[in-house]
Amino acid sequence: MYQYNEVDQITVDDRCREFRDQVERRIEGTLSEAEFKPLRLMNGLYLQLHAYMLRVAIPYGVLNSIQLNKLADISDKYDRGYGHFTTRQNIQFNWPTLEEVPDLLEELATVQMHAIQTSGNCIRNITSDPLAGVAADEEVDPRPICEWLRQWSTLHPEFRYLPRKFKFAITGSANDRAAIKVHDIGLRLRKGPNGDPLIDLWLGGGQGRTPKIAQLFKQGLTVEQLLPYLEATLRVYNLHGRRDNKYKARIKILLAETGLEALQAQVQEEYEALDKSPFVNSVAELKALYPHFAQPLVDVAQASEIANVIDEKLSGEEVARWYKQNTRDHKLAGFRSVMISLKPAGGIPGDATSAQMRALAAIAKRFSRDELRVTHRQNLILPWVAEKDLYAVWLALREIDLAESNIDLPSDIIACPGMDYCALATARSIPVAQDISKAIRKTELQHDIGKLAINISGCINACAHHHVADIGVLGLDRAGVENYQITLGGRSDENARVGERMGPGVSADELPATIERVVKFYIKERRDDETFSLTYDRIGKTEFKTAVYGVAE
Amino acid sequence: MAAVKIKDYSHGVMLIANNLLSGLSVYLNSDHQWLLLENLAQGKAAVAYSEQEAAELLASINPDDFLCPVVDPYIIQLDGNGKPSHSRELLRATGPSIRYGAQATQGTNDVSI
Repeated sequence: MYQYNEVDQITVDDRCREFRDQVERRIEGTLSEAEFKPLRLMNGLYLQLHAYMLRVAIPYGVLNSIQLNKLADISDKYDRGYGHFTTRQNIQFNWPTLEEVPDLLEELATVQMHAIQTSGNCIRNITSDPLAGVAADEEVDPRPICEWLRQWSTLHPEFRYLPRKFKFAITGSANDRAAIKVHDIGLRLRKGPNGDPLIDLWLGGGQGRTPKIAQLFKQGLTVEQLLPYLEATLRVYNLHGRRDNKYKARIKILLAETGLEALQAQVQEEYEALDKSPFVNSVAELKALYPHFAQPLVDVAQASEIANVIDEKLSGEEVARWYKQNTRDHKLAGFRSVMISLKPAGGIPGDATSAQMRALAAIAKRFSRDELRVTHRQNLILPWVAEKDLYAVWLALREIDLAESNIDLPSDIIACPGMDYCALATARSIPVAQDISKAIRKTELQHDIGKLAINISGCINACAHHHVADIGVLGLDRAGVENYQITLGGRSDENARVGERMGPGVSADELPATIERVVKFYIKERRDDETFSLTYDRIGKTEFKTAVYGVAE
Repeated sequence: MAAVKIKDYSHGVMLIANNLLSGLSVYLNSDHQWLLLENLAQGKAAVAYSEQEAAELLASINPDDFLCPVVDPYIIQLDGNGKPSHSRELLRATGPSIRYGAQATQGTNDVSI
């Protein structure tokens, strides 16, 4: 994985010193809250319902054991012994104090981490396929481009005060696991003619109150063209994005209001006029990043020998189920990626305790080339596990209650922090996720149901991606009472689409039974291994709506 | 954060904010101190019963003073039992309704709002 160079470290260290000074000035009363708030947000520090919350960036979801150990230490020292992994592949701490945040950030900087640009109207953490570099179906490893764009976008002087936040997601696989079509810019990397990738740029996707699926904006960009083209795109957005209305300020609205062809023409004009001289070394800089992501040396003979000898211990029923559900094909023979579910029975989606983090760091160091990934479904991945080690990994995960084999199954629920933590939330997400998970576990064999995404957002901002779930749940406030609206048939993959809203919301008490009815209806109606969205398309909204409300309307 | 509009002053309203240093939710008592709810003695909250009284209460803490010890103060409505009447404010007063950290998966959630 990428290691900071001197410039990266100086940048982060300088920012730590700068923010310490800003915090000191706020506390001594020479900065007002109005002056301080945008400064703390630029450093990922929010003020939530009960306390401050610090969002720490995990660039494209890649972590090593030293970093995860540090996150564990931080959660013990500055928080309450746990952290929350998010749908943006970040981690959030829910209880830091203002006075201690500068110390916390300095500790983070010692392991090449920070909270810069995890909030504010700037380019946020760049997310990617959590199986980047290891997926069997991958065409192009997106990590070098991710890192290149991380460097380009970090403290970019022109894009620090955009009309609104700006999110990138990047994939190098036809099977989109990064939800690129619901990001402001999604990049799909394809194999190019001379070893360099060609890049398709999807623009204007997003969720929130106006969900939009991105449109193919520019096809086949070369690496030489990519940075100037992005710069031109962001520049047009910076100039013309709606600053008068925060609900219309994302690029998806600019695209809708301007029209695809007109916006393409504006960007093309800007691109052609752009001074390209600052980019003269940029491709060389990209190429210098490749060695950081080189495939580890593997003894091919040994690997294929290993591949032929799958541990017979994996034949036990429980571990076999885990192997099937929680491990994925790998680029290299003899290896698999291990998905770690952060959705144990009764648990909080995405939460990990400090003890679990430390144990995972040790497992990653011993069995996964010192590397972990964070997924946008709020789980973790060990990307480099030799098949011969799978049984040992399973045992080690079981020790820390993280061997539940429910990846992609209905209890693998995405939930935002909701009103239990978030100041923007209009309803709770976590307890309803727990209740739904409980109902699903009790009534059906999840493994018979198969892949099904249930995503629960506690407000219209849609942090839990409810618009693009098979079953989406949106928590609202109806006259002081929590109320949950259901959407069905959404997808976040390469065929992304926004789900359809069913009708009036239901109460928290009614919600688990409502979801259960929908799941049972799907099981009854599906043909063979038909996915939820295909069944939904075939059967139609009206029938599913009847299932939602339990009676024909 | 946008405060919920007060519709009814008959049971009184009180002031809530976040402590600047800790970030924790705090309430104003009748001695003009900002306290965690658990430290707020019974019946000692500063309560106002009209829009004007509420505005005076808010003004009395000088929220725009750089040295104000709290952030984002606003008025919340109380119910007949002296508790926040809106579910959000009640949740804010009583903390997360779920067990978290090492206790998350221990037993069932018995915290209700």
